[in-house]
Amino acid sequence: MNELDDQKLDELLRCEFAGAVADDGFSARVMRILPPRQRSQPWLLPIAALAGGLLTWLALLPSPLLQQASREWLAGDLGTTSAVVCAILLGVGLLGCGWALEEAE
Amino acid sequence: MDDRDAQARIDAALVERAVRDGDARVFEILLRRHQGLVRAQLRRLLGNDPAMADDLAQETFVLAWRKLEQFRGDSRFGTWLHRIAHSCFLQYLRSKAGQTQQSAELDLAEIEMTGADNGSPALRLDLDAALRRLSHNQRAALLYSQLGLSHEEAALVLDMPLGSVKTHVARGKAKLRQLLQDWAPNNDRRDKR
Repeated sequence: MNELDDQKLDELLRCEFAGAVADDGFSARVMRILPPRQRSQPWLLPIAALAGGLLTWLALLPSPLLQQASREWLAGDLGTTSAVVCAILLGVGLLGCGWALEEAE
Repeated sequence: MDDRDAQARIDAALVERAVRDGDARVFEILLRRHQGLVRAQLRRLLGNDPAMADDLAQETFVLAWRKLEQFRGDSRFGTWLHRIAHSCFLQYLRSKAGQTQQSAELDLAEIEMTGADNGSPALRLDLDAALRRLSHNQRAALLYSQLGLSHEEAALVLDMPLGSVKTHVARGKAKLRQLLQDWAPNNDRRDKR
C-alpha cells in the first residue's frame, strides 16, 4: 500500500496553514478597549486588616465584652471573653484581607 | 543565539517594561508583534469564522494585558499567548456545547482556503476532510507543530505531557497518511481521479 511520505505530508500541512494574519486595524481596536491597568497595591492587605480590626474594636468599645476582656488582660488571666474578642478581631481582620485580595484581582 | 531566542528576549524585555511602567504603548508593541499568529491560530481552530476568531483574539490580548505580571518568562511570550488563546477557544467550545452538541467535534480544522497554492483543489478538499476525521487533540497538536512551536511548547499550550503531544502528532500523521493514500505517488487510484 502506497502512502504519502512524511516530507510530502508536512509540506501539505504547511501549505494548508495560511500563516500570520495581517493587522488591518485589529491592534488599534484592541488598544481602544484595553482596560486601565490596575497596579498591584501591596500596602492594601495590611491596611485592610488593620482597618477591620480597628472598626471592630470601636464597635465593641461600649459593650461589656471588651471591658471584661480588658479586665482579664490587665489581671493577666486571659479567659473565654478575651478569646471571643480576639476571635472577633481576627475574623473581621481576615474579612478585610479577603476584600483586599478580591480588589486586587 | 538564533532568531527565535533573540525575539523571545525582546518580548521578555518589553513585558518587563510594560509591567513595571504599566505602559499600554509598550503592550501595543507586543500586540502588534503577535496578533498575526494568534489570530491565525484561532482562525484555524475555529474554521471559517474569522469574526469569532478575532473576538477570541481580542479576549486573549485583554486577558494577557490583565495578567501580564503572571508571565514569568519560563516559556516564550508567544507560547504564553497561544496558551491563553487555546484556553479562550476551549471556553468558547464549552459555552457553545450547550447550544450545539457537535461543537466539540467541529470544524476544528475546517481549513481556510486562502492559503498558499497547495496543488490540486481536490487534494486540499481531501486533506480538509481527512483533518476533520482526526481527534481534537491530534488536530490541535498538528496545528501547533505547523505554527512553528516545538513539541515542548505545544505541550505547554495544550496543557498535556510532552509524550502525549508526540503521540498525537505521530498518530495524527499516520491517520492522515492512511486517509490520503490515494494521493500517494505511483498510486493507481490517484490516476483514476
